[in-house]
Parts: sequence; C-alpha cells; structure tokens
Amino acid sequence: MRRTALVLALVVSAASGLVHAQRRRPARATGAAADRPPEILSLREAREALSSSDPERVILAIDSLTVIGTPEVVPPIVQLLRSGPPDRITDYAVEKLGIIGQPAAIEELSNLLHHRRPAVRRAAIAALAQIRDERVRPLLESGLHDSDAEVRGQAARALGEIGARASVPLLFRAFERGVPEAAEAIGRLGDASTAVSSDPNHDREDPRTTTHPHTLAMWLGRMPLSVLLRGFERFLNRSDISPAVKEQIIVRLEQQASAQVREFLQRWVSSLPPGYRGRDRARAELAIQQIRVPTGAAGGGGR
Amino acid sequence: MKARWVLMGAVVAACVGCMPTIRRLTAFSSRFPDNNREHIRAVYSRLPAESDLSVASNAVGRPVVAGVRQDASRAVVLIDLASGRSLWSADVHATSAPEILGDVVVVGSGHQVIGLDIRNGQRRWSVDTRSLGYLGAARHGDTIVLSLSLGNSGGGVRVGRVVAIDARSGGERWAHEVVGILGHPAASAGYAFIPWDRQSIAVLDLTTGVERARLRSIDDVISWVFAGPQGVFYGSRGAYRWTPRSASGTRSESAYLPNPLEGIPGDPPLYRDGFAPTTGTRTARDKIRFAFLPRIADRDAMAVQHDTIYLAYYRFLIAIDVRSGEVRWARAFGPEESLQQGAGASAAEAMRRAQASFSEHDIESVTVTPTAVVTISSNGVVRALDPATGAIVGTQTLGVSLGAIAADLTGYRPPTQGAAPAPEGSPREQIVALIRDPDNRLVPIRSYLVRLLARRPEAEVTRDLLELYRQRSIPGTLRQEVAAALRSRRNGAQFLIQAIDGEEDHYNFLENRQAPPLDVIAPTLAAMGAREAVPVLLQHLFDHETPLAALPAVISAIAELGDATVIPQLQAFVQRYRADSAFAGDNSAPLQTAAAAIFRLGDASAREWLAALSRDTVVHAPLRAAITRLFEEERSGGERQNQERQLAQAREELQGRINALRAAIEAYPLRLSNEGFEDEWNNHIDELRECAQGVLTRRPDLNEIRITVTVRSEPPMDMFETTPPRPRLPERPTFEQQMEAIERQMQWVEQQINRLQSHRSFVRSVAYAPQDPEMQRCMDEKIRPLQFPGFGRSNSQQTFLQRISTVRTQARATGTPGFGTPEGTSLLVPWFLVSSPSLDRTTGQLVSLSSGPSAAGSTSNAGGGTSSSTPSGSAPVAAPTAPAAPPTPPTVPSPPASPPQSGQGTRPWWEE
Repeated sequence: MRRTALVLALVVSAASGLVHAQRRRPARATGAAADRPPEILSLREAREALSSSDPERVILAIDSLTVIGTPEVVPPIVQLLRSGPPDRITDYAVEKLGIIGQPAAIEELSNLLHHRRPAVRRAAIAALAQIRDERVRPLLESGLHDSDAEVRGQAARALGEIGARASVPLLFRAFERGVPEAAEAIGRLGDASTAVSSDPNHDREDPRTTTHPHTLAMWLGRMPLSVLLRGFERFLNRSDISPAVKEQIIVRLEQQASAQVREFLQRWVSSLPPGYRGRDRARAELAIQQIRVPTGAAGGGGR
Repeated sequence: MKARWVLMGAVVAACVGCMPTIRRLTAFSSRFPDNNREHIRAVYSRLPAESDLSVASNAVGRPVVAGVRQDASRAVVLIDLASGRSLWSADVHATSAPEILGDVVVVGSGHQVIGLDIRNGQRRWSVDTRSLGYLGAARHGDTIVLSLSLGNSGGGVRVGRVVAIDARSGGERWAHEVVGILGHPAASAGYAFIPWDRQSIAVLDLTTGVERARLRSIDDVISWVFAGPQGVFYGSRGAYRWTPRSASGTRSESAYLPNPLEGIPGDPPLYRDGFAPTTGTRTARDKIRFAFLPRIADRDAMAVQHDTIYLAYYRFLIAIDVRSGEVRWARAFGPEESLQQGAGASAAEAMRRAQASFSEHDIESVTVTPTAVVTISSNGVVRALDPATGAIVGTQTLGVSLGAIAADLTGYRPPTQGAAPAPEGSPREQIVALIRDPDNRLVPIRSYLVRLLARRPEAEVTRDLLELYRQRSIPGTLRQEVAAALRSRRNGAQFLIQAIDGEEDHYNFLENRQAPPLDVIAPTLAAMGAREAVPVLLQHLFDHETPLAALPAVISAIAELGDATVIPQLQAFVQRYRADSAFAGDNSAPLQTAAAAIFRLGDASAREWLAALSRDTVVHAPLRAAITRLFEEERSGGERQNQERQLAQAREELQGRINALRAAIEAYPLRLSNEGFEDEWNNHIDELRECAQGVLTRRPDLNEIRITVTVRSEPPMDMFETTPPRPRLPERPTFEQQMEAIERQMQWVEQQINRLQSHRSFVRSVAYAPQDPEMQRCMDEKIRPLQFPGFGRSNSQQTFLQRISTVRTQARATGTPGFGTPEGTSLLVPWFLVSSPSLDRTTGQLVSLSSGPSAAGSTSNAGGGTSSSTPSGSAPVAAPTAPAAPPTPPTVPSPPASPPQSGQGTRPWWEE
C-alpha cells in the first residue's frame, strides 16, 4: 500500500511539479527506463507517441519530452507543431518549449510569433522569455509591433522579465502607443532618468511633442494613473534607484493628490522593512498626510 | 361710288388688321420644311465673318460682369472689370441670370422680363411673360428676342412664346406662340435662332418674324444654340457649327465636334442647357459646365481655340484636349487658402473649417477668351489663367459675392497682380492632386478622375492609384473606385511589388503602419502576370498580419503566378493550420484555396498528400470536404469528358451513316437504266434462247423475236426518309440512355440503307412478237419471276424492248448452224414480216440481210426501256420508231447496194 502511494506521488511530481522544477536542469534519465516512473516515456517512445491519434497520449509524450529536457527533445516537438495539431496540443507544446528552455527551439518559436492565433503568439513570447539567448530580445521586441494588444503586453512584460535594458526606448514608444504593460517593464528596466526628471518643468512637457528624453512622470495626467503606478512601483522597489530619485517620484505622485496615490503610497510604505528610515519613506509618509481626498473620492482613478 | 371706295377701304383695313394673325402662321408651322439646303445655305451666307474680339461690344465699352447679389435683395450688379468698381446695382429681385445685350442688361424678375440700361441700371422696359418661364434673350441690331416657355421640366403642358421687342422701348414687334418648348435664343445677321423641342432650331427673320429656315437634328438632341463672332453654334453633348452641311441633320455630315469625355458626374452638355431656365441663384448647373471658344477652321469645320475645352466642376478647372480627351492641365481653387484659414486649430477642426469654406471658391463663371481662361469664384475672385498651362496670370477681387454671373469679356486684359504658377507636375500628377483634394463634395468628380487616371498608359499610374488607395482619409466610395481602377491596370507591376516587399511594407503597430492592400494588389499582380511577385506574396502568406480576408487572393495569386516550386510552402501553410481554430468553419477559405492550388500545381505525390489530408479526422471538416470535392470533380470531370467523347464519337458515326444514307438516296435511280435491266436480263438469255428454239423450228423464216417487258417499281415512301426517329429521352438523360438512343438511330439508318440496296422492281407484264403461245408460255415462266434493281421515288414502271435477232443465222447457214433458221434456208424475210399477215410469201418481198458477227441469239434492246409515261431514249443502239409489241409493219426499206462485210458488228437490219 505504501509502495503504491509512493509510485503515485512520483508520477504526479513528474507530470507537473517536476516539470517546472527541472526546466533549467535537463534530466539525465534518457536511457535509464528502470529509474523513471512508468508513465514517463523514453525519448523514443515519446517520439512515437507524438504521432498518436490519441491527444492524451500526445500530451503524455510532450510531458515526457519536457522531463527529459535535452536538446534532442526539441525537434520532435517542433515537428509536432508543424504538423498542425489541434489548438490544445499546439498551446501545450509551445508552453513546454519554454519550460524546456533550449535555444534549439528559438527558430520555431520565432516562426510561431507569426502564428495566426494570438494565443500561440503570446505563448511563443512567454516561451522565448524563458530561453537565455541573445537572439531572444529582438524577437520579443518584434512582439511590441503586433496588432494584438495582449501579444504586445506579453512582449512588454517579457522584455521586463529578461532584463532587456536596451529595449527601454522601444518600450517607451510602445507605452506612448498605448501598451500599458510597457510601464511596468520600464519600471523594471529603466534608469532613474527614465522615471522622473530632476527638472520638474521637464516632466510637465507634453511627451507627444517634446524632443527631450521621455520620463514616466511626463505621462502623469495623460495616461491612466493605475498604469503609471505599476511602473513607479517597480522603480520604488528597486534597490539600484537612489532614495533621492524615489523622493522625486513621490513628489510627482503627490501632485496628483488622489486617493489612488495615497493608497498606493500607503501600500508601498507598509511594504518597507519596519526599521527602514530613509528620506524616501519620510517623504512618502508626509505625502500620505498631505493628500486630502474629498469624501467619496477614495479609490477613484485620476488622469 | 364714294360708298364703294369706303367699303373697299374697310376691307383693306380689315386685312391689315388680320396681319398679326397671318404672321403667327409664318413660323413654327408643321408644314415648314426641315433641313432645306437652300434655306440653311441662305442663312449661312448671311452670317458675318469673324469679327473683332478686342473691342467690347457692350455700350459701356469695357469688359463688364453682371451678376446677382446672393442675398435677399437679389439685386443685379454691374461691375467694371478694368477698375474692379461696381457701376450700379439694381434692386429688381432677379429670378434669372442677367444677360448683357449691348446697351441693355436683360433679367427675369417674377413674371416680367426687365431691361436695365447698362449705363446706369435704370429700368428701361419690361415685358410680361404671361406666366411662362423666361429662358433667355438674344439681340441683333435693335431687336431683342425673348424665349418664354412652359413645360421645359416636364408636365403635360408644353407651350412657348417667342417675342421680338424693340431694344430701346421694349415694344413688341412680333410674337409667335408655339406648341412645344423653347430654349435660349441666339441672334445674328438679322436672324433669331430659336431652339425648339430639343430637336429643331427655327430661324426667324428678326424684322418680320417669318421663319426662314429650320434645322432638325435626325440623330442628336439640340440643347443649346449661341451666336458668337465666329458664327452660330448649336448642339448638346457635342458642338455643331452652322454651315450648309447642317442641312443633313446628322452628326456625321455636319460640322460636328464631339465631347471626348463621357460620363462626367452631372452629365453637363458642352454649353449651358438652353432649355433649363436660370434661377438667379447659385446652382449646380452653373458650377458643373464646360467652356470653350470656337474658332474658324478650314472647310467650315467645328473647332475650338487651342483645341481645348475646359471643365469647371465646383472648385476644379480641367483643361481637356478636345481631340484625344487627354487632360492638359488640372487645378483646384481654394483648398490651400481654406486650410490656411484653419491653421492653429487641430487638424480635424482645420479640416472642418476648410470643408465649410470650400464652397466660397466654387467657380461661378468661366469664360474662354483668345488669350485667357477667366474664372469668377463665389467669393468674387477673378482669375485669368494661361490656357496652355493653367498658370494664373492675374487675379483681381470684385469685392462682392455674386451668383448667376454673365460676363462680357470682349477686350479683356487680365490684371498683372496675383499671378501664380501653373499647377505642379505632369497632367498625371495634377489629376492625382485633384483626387487627393479634401473637398468631400467633389467625391463624384474625384471618382471620375480616378477612372480617367486609370486609362493613362504611364506605369506610374499604378503607383499613384496604390498610394491613393492607402490614403486613410479617402472616402469609402472613392477608395472602391480606386481599387477597381487598380485592378484594371496592366502595367506598373514593379510598383505593386515594391509596395509589398520589404520590412516596412508589413503591418507595424508601433510605426502605425497598416498591412498593404493585398486584396487589391494580389489579384492585380496575377492579372499582370508578374511572376517575380511570388516570393513576396509567399512572405505575406506567412505573415499573421495579412488580413484573413486577403489570404485567398494572395494564395490564388501565388497559384496563378507560381509553379510547382511553391507547393512545399503551400503545403506547410495548410499543414500548420489544418486543425487550428484560426481557420475553423467559415475561416477555412484560405486553406481550401491553398489545397486547390496544390491540387492544380502538384504532382501525384502532392495529390496523395491531399488525399491523406482529406482522410485525417483531425483536419477541419470544410477543408476535408473541399479536398474530396476536388478529387470528385476531377474524377467526374474525367468521366464526363470520356463520356462526352464517346457520345461525340457515336454522334459522328451516326452522322456519317446518315450521310451515307443520303448519298444512297441521292444515287438511287429515278429510272431503271438499260444496263441495269440487261445485267439481269442477260443472266437468263440462255433460258430464253431455249424457249425460242421451238418457234424458230416452227417458223424458220422468223428473223427476230421481240419481247416487251414492263418493269414496275413500288418503293415504300418511308424508304427515302433520312432523319432517324427522335428518341424519347428524359429531360436529363444518362450517358447510357443517350448511347442507346444513338445506337437505335444507327440501326434505323442501317435498315434504311439495306432497304434501298435490296429493293427490287418486278416484271409487271410481258408482250411477245411473234405471239407464239408455246414460246410465250415458256418465256413467261422465265421472265415473270425476274427482279430488277429498284428505281423511282414512288410507284413507277418502265418498259424495255428486247429483241432476239435471228438474222445472222442466215449468214452462218453455210457453216455454223444458226439460231433460228434451218440450215440451207435461203429465204430471208424480216422477222416482223414473217409473222405479219401482210407478207406475201410468194412474191417474196424479201430483203437480203447479211449475217452479222454477233453471237447467235444475241438480243438487242431496241429503244431501251420506256416508262409507262415517257419512252426512253437511252437504248444502246439507235432506236427506230418501231413500236413495241405488237409490231406494226413498217415501210420496207430498200435493200443495201451491196451486202455488208462480215465483221461489221451487230447492226440493226434497217441500218444495213
């Protein structure tokens, strides 16, 4: 009885949690069939199973290849994708290519960035973001040009995730063109000068007409505050941004004088370590006190 | 006596009183001849030679403009163009356009036509229109003729009135009331030219009102007539010059100049429609019009100055080569000023303001002078343009907003200020600029210009159209017109390829770039046969930003332009999306198109691939069904072709046999020839010879036996039918049913041929001479069963006379035993005499007959067969007039001078 339970536990872990746990660590169980749980197929078996007419068996094969995780597993999955499987299998296989994380999948994933179904394109972007390769960044940037808003958002997030600092100018353009996810990516990637200018007048310029470098603060009042706050939150949480810059950010936000800003600052202050007494914290606490919110205006989003 | 004179005077006075009534009958009579050459020529001969155009003809002596103020007063204003000053303003509430006629400005106002003194605007006279519409006036000398009409716009009542008045006093000189509608008159050389019922022009003597000539168009409409220094002109869509050739009443024989442009929105005639009353306000009719200046040409041809006509269309002015229809130059007035007025506001606001102010720049008047094209816009701006280039040579402002403008520009010298260069670029580029014009009122003419542009041969037109199509601000209807024009192009493929080749020619969100219009470009490239476009089109096939709706066009173009090398990529496309929801249901059209392309271009392996796809249950059902259909259609198409081939072959064979049947019927003899008879007869000659032996024994003097055979043919009527019976088939017969029907027809034809070939004639009767019963019985047994070839188209019979000569037996008497005469017999008697009771055997009226070389017992057909009605003359030997049986004794011929030599042949005895 105990033995059965152990086997079941192994299967479950192999099929789900194990997959994620091992996505950066290729499995070394390619030849040792006796060492693996019975439901995980060998590379050969998985290859054969990929052409099965039973979708469940195909899924099992993909899982098995994901567990194996070596570069050899990529071509069979690529072949599967090119054979035109149903949506469910396509989506699943693309996702697993990301988990496998092998650069060998980049070519097919870049093809899938032109798939006619946005869900596949989003999945391809997510998968690419998990592959450490210098070819990935331009591919993710191309996602910002996509006609689908969710694809663009996914691309912006992915650029933030992979730390593509070189993409900040492009992210600003995407943000200007209405990709809200770009704000968060800018908050993760941009340097201090992209958050707020030391010259308040600069931040008050119209970003649509100015020739000066853009800052996120320039969009205050021009873009939904909730969108901008996601970017500023990233800046405020970064350790490489000086307290002085953070203080400037807080000042710009305070000028909005909205309940949303106050709630945001309150949440941020509460997230700080209790013993932290930096000037940025003090400025934030002061701003929380000074922002007077009219009755009934709490929670309202300002522009 | 005195009373008598008084009475006579009264009668004369009464007659004079009747004169007006008589005059009314002197024009517009139905009995007046149309197109009388002498009449037309007489009018033409009186028309003046081209007059001086440099001196103003009006009483002011300077170029002037009369117009109606577009406010509640509807005042008529006269402006001196040289000074730009208003000379006077008359509050007459104008309801027509004014006309400058010498020293008078004539204008309609309600039910009156008013004459204003051109020098001061004072009312000089007025004429009651009698509730008729005022069409216009013309003047020659001191007579002004007015056209008044009712029913020009339709309705049951169609009446008109022509009134001639004194130009100074307005007193009526004569008038005609007409049943029919009248148009704006013209006057020249003492004649009034009155267009009538849109078909005729009545030419009246201005002094008396008597009609002098009448022109009636046989194949055209007459909408207008005007007289100028160059002559009298009339027409509708085209222009005629009044010449003696006008008497033909036809376009082809008259001096005619057609308008090379057709289908212009608003359908303007070449000159202002004289049957449409003017209103004194700004109307579309005034804003959409042609202008031209006639010129004298050789042989009285109709020609225009600079060979150019000018189309004014609201703010557009387009110069058109009257011969080729090509645009010489084109320009618009106003958008730049209007857009500048909106500067400082947002783009949308600027455009809104511009749209509102565009109408201020509409061309209200356009006049062609020998040196300039002069336009007057709604805002009172007068522009003089170079007729050759469209450059503005001068501009002046009238300072008043006018409508219903009349201009007397004789002697006009354009101002020197306000010049502007000719419109930029080539005529093609100028047309494109007008198409791009933001004035939304002008979409119809912009669409027309698109069609005009598309007809141009330059390859760059394709690029222009593509750029127009991609212009986002272009109205939808215009975009559709551009798309249609683009599809009609057959050159400039390189521009289309450029438009879809390269990274910057795909959709890009950040760059705000749209996908290229592949739904238009791809079919056009295919129509152009631009094979070099295939790689680029393949790129767009795999670009997810290519609109789904455009994919079938892209794939079709790839299939049309490409070859088998594109199949792998098409297969990759189909393979990837064969089960993807992006192409499920109605969205599967691109996959189906690609499958069809693979089916068409691919080899056997490609078809196998498709067949496998059609069996795969994962694949979208519509795609599978489409593939299955492709195979079925080909299979059924192949079978159908095969069956059609078989049917065609069978029909061909049937027709061949029908032809053979017809030939056989054609060859079927109407008569039985002697040869035909003898072919059968000679087969039995030996049997007959045997029958003759007995009678020769009994009658050794018998020289000849004559047998008359009557042969009868009774062919059935249906034997000569050549059309097989029509088969009874269902409405949609199967292949088998059709083949069976053809087979039955074939059998019928064969039966007919067999019937023809096997049909025989039979012996109806036989007569013998001599009438020896024994011989007769014997021969009857042999002859009566005989059958001969059939003949004739109906029941008919022919008679053949056969002779069995016995005469040469005598010649052989010394040697070989003869046919009939016993050996040693020396008495030679003609056979018919032998049996003739008139033969005197004792006296021996005998003819010495020599023996012939022919075989004993040979028979000769004397006279051939004779039908029951007509004797035949086709005997092998010259036939005597001997009767058939029973023979009648002829005159005994004289014996020959010397006996014939042996070897002379079997000649009848009487020839020997």
